[in-house]
Amino acid sequence: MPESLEDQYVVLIQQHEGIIHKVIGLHVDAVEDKRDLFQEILLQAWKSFEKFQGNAAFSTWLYRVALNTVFNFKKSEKKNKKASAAAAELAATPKEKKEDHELLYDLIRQLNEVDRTLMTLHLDGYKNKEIADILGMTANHVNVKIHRLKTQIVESFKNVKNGSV
Amino acid sequence: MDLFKTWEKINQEKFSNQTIKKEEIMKAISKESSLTINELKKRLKYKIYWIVFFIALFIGWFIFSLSYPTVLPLIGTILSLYLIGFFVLFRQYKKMDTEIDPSMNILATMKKNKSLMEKALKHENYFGLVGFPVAVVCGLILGDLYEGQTILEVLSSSKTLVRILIFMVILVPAMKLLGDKMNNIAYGKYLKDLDTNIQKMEELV
Repeated sequence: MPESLEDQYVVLIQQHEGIIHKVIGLHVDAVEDKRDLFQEILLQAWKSFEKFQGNAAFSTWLYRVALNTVFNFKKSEKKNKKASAAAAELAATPKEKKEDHELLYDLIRQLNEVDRTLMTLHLDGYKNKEIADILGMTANHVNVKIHRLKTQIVESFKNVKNGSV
Repeated sequence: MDLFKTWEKINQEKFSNQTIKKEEIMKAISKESSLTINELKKRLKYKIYWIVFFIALFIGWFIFSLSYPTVLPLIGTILSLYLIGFFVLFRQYKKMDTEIDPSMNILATMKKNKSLMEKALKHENYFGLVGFPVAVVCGLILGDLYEGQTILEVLSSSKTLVRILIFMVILVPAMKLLGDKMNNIAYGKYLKDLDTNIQKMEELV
């Protein structure tokens, strides 16, 4: 018996839920916002799942829906202030003592929302043309931005490691 | 440092699949959306219900007043305004359903969200600025018309003119300011953030 649409959706989400955690983890601080957004992304993805033709990989499609939901979600200000204070406390750990991956994560989180998205899509292996399609920017614009962001991150990384920041 | 390898470690450590249960997914997809545009859509829906209620009320009133020909044009004016308000807001409401697709590109969705929200707020504003004052002024005049006065007599009464003037000079601007302030509190920062992200995606470097 063929699987229902719901069953197909559940299986695909279970295989790719890491993408949702990644988008939320990179863009939201407050715990309540994270929970609300997780449910909202599942809902938005389900609403347009029927339109998913399979022309693109499900992971790319889900990434797009998750980013769209995050960018159009109103983050609660009060909760974010509290979360930012907690994040600032955590960040007080001397950066040069952090492991490389933790430092890279911090540096990416410090970028603005658009740059953060560009950088993470690039690091996840998407080609500039695909990134441009997901975001709605031109490929040339993406090339320029990614080049600049990579240079900026590598420089910041070196500075922190050398103790000059 | 190899950025890609380091990023892979972050992926494994922080964003691996955590085997979400089917029940959790089913629960999430049966919930109502909490996106900002949906908040506004819900608000619009309640306004449309109110407009429909008033349209029904004015139709009844119109039928009831058929034997008072002097009041019919005024009731007709209010009714027409509410009908126009209904069609404009309903059209906006339907657009919110059909024009947003979360699988479109991010820039297009943000622009669409922003434009739909701004238009909905603008139409609400227009309705508040035109429909509501006209309805109240007609209401103020109607009472006297039922008492057998002509429209010219009513409008030349200083008592009626003072009432209309107070309403137009104090209450309408006060309500407009209050409405703008409340919309700004509810959606101002959100729309500004959308605008910032749109600009960042469109700027060349």
